[in-house]
Amino acid sequence: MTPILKLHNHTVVDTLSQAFAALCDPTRRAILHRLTQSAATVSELAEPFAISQQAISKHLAYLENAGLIAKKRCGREHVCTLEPRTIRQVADWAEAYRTFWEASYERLDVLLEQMKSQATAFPRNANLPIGGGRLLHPGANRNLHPAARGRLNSKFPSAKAKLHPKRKKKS
Amino acid sequence: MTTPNKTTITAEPGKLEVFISREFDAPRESVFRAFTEPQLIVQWLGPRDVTMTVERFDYKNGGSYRYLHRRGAHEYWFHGVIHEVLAPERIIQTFEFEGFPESGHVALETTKFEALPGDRTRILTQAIFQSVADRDSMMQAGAERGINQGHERLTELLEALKK
Repeated sequence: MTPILKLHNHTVVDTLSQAFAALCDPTRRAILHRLTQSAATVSELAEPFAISQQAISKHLAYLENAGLIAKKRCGREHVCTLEPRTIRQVADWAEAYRTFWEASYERLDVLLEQMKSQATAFPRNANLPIGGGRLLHPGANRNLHPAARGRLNSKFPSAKAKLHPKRKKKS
Repeated sequence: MTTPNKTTITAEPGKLEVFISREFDAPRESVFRAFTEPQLIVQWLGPRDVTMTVERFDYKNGGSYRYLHRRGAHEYWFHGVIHEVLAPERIIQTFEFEGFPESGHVALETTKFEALPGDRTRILTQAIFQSVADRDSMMQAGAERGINQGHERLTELLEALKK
């Protein structure tokens, strides 16, 4: 699995790509799940599956390559353990994506509070070409693309004059 | 304002989908407006260190949108078409990040706005990608933006502690 994006932290991405490719398979996920309970030998891991030990060994090599498990020789057997660092990276990755949305939604919380307390500053105005209606505050206009801003201003030349006095002072 | 609301992300390994869910202490009409009016959406979409600029924002059936997220010298453009807007319940749209080496990596996003008792709202977004690699790349890109936001907050906190 090659990442499509050019990313800043190649080490993390490579680890993640490998980890996710490894996690794509239900047998390998079941093996990981088994290892969350305790370390296990290769034959112990093979036991619940109706596939050859050779096939299990292939899966284990895949997991080991992805850094999700570690194999240690113990007498005549190989003992497998989870590699918490990689699992942690996978968990952190999902958490970071959540953080992106959480950051947006926290700002939305603030906006929704403002809409409640200053209803007059957020007039409902449907059926407008860019969707929103009058300028809500000068800052909002600044965030529009020049082309969109032109359309908005020509359509509402007196938009700024119509701003709620309270909003004006705040800018 | 304190908020106990937490964003939930569900992305199973090897699947094409991501689910994003969140509750808000505001009526459904307001939340819906914040998603569909350009002067409102620029105020919240993206972390604080990102400036959002709307080039096109026509939220109606068959409409389209294009916007820019800018962080310093970095520009991230996104666009899509609106399949359906059913106020204040549902938006179905496509979504494409323009920063990929080639175009055509499109996701289909459905956002449902559910009214909860006490003038609260739950939103649930389902994004379906064309491949697992597409989904994971998109999440990775979002994650990096999220990480930056985290760093910015940490910096702020450290600055505040100095004073």
